[in-house]
Amino acid sequence: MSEQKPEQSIESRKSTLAGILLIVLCIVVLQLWLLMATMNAYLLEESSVIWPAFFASLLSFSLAAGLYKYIR
Amino acid sequence: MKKQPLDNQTQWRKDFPVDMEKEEYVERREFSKFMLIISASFVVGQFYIGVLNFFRKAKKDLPIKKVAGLDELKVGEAKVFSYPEKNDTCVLVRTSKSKYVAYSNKCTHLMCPVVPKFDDKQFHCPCHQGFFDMMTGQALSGPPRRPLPRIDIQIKNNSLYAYGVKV
Repeated sequence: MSEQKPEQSIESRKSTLAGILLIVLCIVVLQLWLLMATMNAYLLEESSVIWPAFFASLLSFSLAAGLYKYIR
Repeated sequence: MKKQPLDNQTQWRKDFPVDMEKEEYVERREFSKFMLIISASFVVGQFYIGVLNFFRKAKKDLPIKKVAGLDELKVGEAKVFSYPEKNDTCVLVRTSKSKYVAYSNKCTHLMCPVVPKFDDKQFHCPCHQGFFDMMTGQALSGPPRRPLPRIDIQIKNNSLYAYGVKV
């Protein structure tokens, strides 16, 4: 019984990691889209979306960093 | 699958006792770290665009530059000039007796120079078959989505002067 505990633990950690990895991937894809949209706006000289997009990207990064810290 | 104790394993496993599950876990964690670095680089990219935008706003007004004489071009003729910088090539077109239009001649797809087609009243990009409307600069077909930047032209002392760019 006591031998199985570490195995269960690593299995559980792997599932959590897979879930977190999926969320981080979604965040990175969202950030990529934000970057493309911001570049397009910059080239069209529409500066109103540039800083909100930056803060949204920063928030996404903070979320990803928080999740990463959680799995360490 | 249940693991065998190390003593029951073959010699090569004893020599290299690698726990594959733990290794896999570490690989995924490393991948997460890599994704985090990419995420951070996107934030840096966003910030860089913001800084570029700030300095673009801070730029002074564009210069007024003589482009051509009033009668230098006949109707249906075009002239290439540079505005506002030396490398910013543009094209001036006389569309009728009293009307001139000028645009940046770099295609908004991949910067190939566009060519005026007077019969269709269009600009044609030969690189990837992009077409723009000659009167408005709007993209009509092909890969480009954004219009050609328009150069503001004014007539003064029987000459044409460029004084601004509208994207």
